[in-house]
Amino acid sequence: MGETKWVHQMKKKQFLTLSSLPNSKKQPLEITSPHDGFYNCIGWALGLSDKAFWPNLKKPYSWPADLPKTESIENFIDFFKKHKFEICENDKPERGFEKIAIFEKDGFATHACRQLKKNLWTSKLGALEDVRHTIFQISGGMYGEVSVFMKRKKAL
Amino acid sequence: MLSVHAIYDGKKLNFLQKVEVKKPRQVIVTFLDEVENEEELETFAEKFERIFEQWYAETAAISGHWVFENPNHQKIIDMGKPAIPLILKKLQEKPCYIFYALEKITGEDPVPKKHATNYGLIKNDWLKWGKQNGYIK
Repeated sequence: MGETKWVHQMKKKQFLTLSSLPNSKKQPLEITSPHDGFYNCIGWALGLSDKAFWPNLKKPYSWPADLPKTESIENFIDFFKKHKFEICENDKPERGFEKIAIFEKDGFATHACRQLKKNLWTSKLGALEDVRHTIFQISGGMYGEVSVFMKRKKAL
Repeated sequence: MLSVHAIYDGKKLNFLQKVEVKKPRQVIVTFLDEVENEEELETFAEKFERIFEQWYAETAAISGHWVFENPNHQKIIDMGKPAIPLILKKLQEKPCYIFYALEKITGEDPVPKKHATNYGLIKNDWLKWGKQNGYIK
């Protein structure tokens, strides 16, 4: 269920606005998959479309046993470090690397998205659809703001 | 004595639960105070629909404690066993992380450990459970 597949299958582009993401009302999010409960934003940030990860939730979520069950931003950073990501300074695309952004609100990690190219990101919205967006479009609402950018070498 | 709750909307009695009466019965109706809030005139199914959709709208796009600490999630649980067929119907219609509410209401967990991280298998386990227990066809 890759993103490209769904973009090509759609005759007309579809867009999504959410009241909980106020900037999406100004600039709607482009839908790139059907809604799906199999994976969440964390799985999708890793490029997976069959896994949902979250530290303190039950089925169908999972989390590494050796990490704490807290929603702290540090815990999410450690999670992504397990998947070969490292913290980077900004969202400027770097050849040979893929980047993710982790969002934080009120001291809790809320969301992660993966960079497609400069100023264009892909997100899985909970149990809803995958969307393409800028950082601005999903900032300021329930996800809060970007707390940290991370990068890892692209798989060959 | 069978006790059944209903709401009189000025024209007819709207029962809040399905009742099967095989033989003629004497019925005693007690009129309580007038309802000012129209929400109180909702049927059980309408109330469930309103609460569920509110919960879904507020939490479907996010993971984390917000989903289950949302007040409407608790309201769904508080609706109890009569809500089970309605929850299972929602599960058939769209992706939703409503398994925890089902566990709390039923006190059961039909999902084997090996299915625990697979949404599709968890969903199928609950729908199978619903059929076996007569909640859905």
